[in-house]
Amino acid sequence: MASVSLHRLTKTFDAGRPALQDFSLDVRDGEFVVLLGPSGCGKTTALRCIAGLEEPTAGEILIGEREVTHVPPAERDVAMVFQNYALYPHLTVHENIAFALEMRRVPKADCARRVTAMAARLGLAELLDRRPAQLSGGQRQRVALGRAIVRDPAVFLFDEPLSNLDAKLRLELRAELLALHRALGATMIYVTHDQVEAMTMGQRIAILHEGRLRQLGAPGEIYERPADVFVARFVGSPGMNILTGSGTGEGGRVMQCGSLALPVADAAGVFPTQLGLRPEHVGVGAVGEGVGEALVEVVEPLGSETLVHLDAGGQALVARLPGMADVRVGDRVGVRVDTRRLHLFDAAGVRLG
Amino acid sequence: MTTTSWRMLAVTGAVTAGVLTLAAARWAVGREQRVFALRTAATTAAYLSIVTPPARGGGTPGEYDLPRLLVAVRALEALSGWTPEVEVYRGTAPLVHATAPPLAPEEFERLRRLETVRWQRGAALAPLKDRDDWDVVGAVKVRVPARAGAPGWLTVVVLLVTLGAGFATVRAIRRTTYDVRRSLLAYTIAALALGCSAYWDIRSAAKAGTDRWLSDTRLLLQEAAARLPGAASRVRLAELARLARGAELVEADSAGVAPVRRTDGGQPRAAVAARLGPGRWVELRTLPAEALAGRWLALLVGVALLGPAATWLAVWGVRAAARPQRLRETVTAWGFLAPAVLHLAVFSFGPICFALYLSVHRWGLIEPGRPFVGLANFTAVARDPLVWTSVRNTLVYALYVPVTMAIALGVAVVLNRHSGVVRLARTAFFLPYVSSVVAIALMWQWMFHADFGVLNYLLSFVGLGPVDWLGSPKTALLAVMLMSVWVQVGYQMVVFLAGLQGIPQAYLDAARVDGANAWQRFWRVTFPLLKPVTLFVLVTGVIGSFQVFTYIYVLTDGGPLHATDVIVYRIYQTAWEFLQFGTASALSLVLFLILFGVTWVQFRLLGKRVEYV
Repeated sequence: MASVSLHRLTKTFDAGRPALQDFSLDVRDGEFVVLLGPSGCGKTTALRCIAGLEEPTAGEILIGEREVTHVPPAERDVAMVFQNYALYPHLTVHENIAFALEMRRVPKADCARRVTAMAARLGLAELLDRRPAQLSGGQRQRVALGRAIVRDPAVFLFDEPLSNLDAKLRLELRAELLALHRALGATMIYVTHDQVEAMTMGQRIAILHEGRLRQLGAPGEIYERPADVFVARFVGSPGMNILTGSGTGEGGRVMQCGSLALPVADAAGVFPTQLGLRPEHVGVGAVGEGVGEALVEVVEPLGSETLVHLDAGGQALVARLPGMADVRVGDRVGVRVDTRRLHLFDAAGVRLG
Repeated sequence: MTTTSWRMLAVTGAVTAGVLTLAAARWAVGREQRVFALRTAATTAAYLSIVTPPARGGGTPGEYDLPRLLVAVRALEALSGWTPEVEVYRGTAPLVHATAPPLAPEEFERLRRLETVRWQRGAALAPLKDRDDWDVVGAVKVRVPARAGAPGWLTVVVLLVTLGAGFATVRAIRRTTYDVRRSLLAYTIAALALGCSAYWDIRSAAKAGTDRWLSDTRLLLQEAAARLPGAASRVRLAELARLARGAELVEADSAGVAPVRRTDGGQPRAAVAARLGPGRWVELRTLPAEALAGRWLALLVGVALLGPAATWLAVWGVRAAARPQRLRETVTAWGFLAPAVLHLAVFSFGPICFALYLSVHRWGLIEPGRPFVGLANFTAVARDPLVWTSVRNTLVYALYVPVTMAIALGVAVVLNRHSGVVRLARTAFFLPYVSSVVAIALMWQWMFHADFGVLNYLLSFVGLGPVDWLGSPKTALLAVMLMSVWVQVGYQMVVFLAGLQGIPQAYLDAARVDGANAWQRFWRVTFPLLKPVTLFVLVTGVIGSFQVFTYIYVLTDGGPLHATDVIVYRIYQTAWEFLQFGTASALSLVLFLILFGVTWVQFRLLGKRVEYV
């Protein structure tokens, strides 16, 4: 077990924009950290740098107390699970799991014992003589896990390990992975673009965008107090409504966003230009109620809830209403807002207060 | 078309095929008999010119003694066992049956002018030349009996059965698929039998023709020996040889009245012994006509199968009419396939079938007779020590393939990255493969040159050589292999590169994280995953090495002392220098079998664990 520290990591590929810029992250010993971001945000690059598959252009990497920035992957004591599993197709399940042990010159008998124990633990005992091509997606993922675990590494790296599985299996393996983390108590760094995975699995989540770290925090913190507009929009489904407007009223205590007039508190003397509002904190009522009126553009009834897309004088926002709401497209409705739940951002998108 | 018209087509096809088969057979049988008649006419004319003494007391030089000619002709009819119906003309006048109609003057004129045996008005006409072999003074006419060419009873029976089967199939056309298939199969078998039976008629006629000519000529030989002045034991064979034109006449020591068949040196022979006098025997040998009848078999079976083909077409037509969409698709599909099928048929399957045919025949460009010889060509191939030398050389030569593969794989691994220099290097390696083979061979010829070659120049720096690369039997094959390595490395490298680029990077990443070093990554991951590519390169390479010809042809001509004599070069030399196309075809079939075996073994040994990534 070991902690992982990234210090001002920068990685530039041959052409153009750096894939990773000034990225710093401290993962504590035994922690489960998720790197979350849209594709191309640099999260996989960061993971590959930790594994040693990419050499950073600048910055340093520490695993435990040891500086490993330029150490080859074999000597870092990390294990990685790949998106496409990367099981060697010409080897059996047994040989796949034993491969890393063999490379490390673990004695044959010891090796066989550990593979058998691992297979039993992951429910692969029947499959040891099969080739990867003869396995289902879920079985392959278990073999890939087994291959990582059997080495007993200091750090586990997961590169979108569940994205190739169907939804049901993904749910199942998510739980299994968490159980595994609890049982092993190992340091795990997990890359995904799926926020549900991130929210449910990560003890802390690091959100990356365009090669930079946007926010690092526990899932609740990320959801409740997004550090900037990007995080606010990215986390949550649908993401946070962001309204732009200008201050009116005495001392700018009311902000006019399209047809909505929202009362805001003056946060640290900087007046916000962007307002964030989670869909679940928006409600609809009769015209005249609430902070203003809006036109219903789209209604998405989901059964347990209904998503209502509104146009409030040029400002688009989504309301999440419980159950099957009685709203029709083309209705004019009054917009109710839980004003205590407003998030305030400045012109650059950074959170105020 | 309606079902009825399809059935009409089938009936027409069946009848036409039957009649055509019979007509073709009849024509061929008649032809065999004409051949016999022509030959007999020529032999009889030769016999008469040998046994008839010159006219006594002056007259035209070379003139026959007419009374003696008459006696000789009459004696023919009295000859025991003599079968042909012969008439001899002096000028245009018949000699034997004085009341018979004379020869037409224009016919005689034509005979005089052309001086060859001719077929005229249902009879063979041979010119009878004077004793000096100078001018045509008469003619010998041999008739074929009128019943000639009638089909054998078996053929007639089979024809009736075939027609019956054909009609039954046509009747069944509207019924279920199963019924039509069964009766169509029966019909096809009957048609095959018809073809074979008609062929048998031809073959019998050919055999009978040869037998009759041999027996008749035997009688003439004995008669001639008896009639020639002087003791029969002293008759010169050269004199009698005129009787046996197109056959061999040799001294022999035993007698057989009936003609026998045997094989002499791979050549089928029909022979009969004649007794020229006390203790003196000769043997008359000729190529049996039935040995050449084989080509009729393919023709007759083909014609006979036209019937089933028409019926099959009708079945298909009726069924297709029920599903016009499918018909249109089928026709379109065949339309698109036609160019390729035609090309394959004419330039691949055709030659292959012809090679098969050649391999069981004695077939030369200049020999007129191209008889069927069974497996004699294959025995000849197996007994030829040069063939074994060439097989050994080819096997040794093939060793260049694994050597090249090792080099090519190494180069591919080194060049498996992207940069300008790498692209340049790849091109350089590939260039030899797309260059003219002859140009390359000529260039290497210079490099291998014993006195001026760059190889010996380089060797001289390390105090070796000079080596006479292409001139010494010890190094010639090695030299050719060296050049082949150089040519093939580029091609194999490109294939290996393609294979390397088909291996997902993730496997190599996983191996790196798993702790494998570069050496282990190559042997434990890259190489096993390249197996299909390796197998492909190996199989195509070995097949190519077994077919090597051009390098040998340009560089060494198979020499020195057959040191670079490979199988294909042997085939080439057998066919085009020794003009033994039959033997060459047999050898190429042997090569085919070897290649088939090699490929099969390679797939069995290496193919078992081929992984498809």
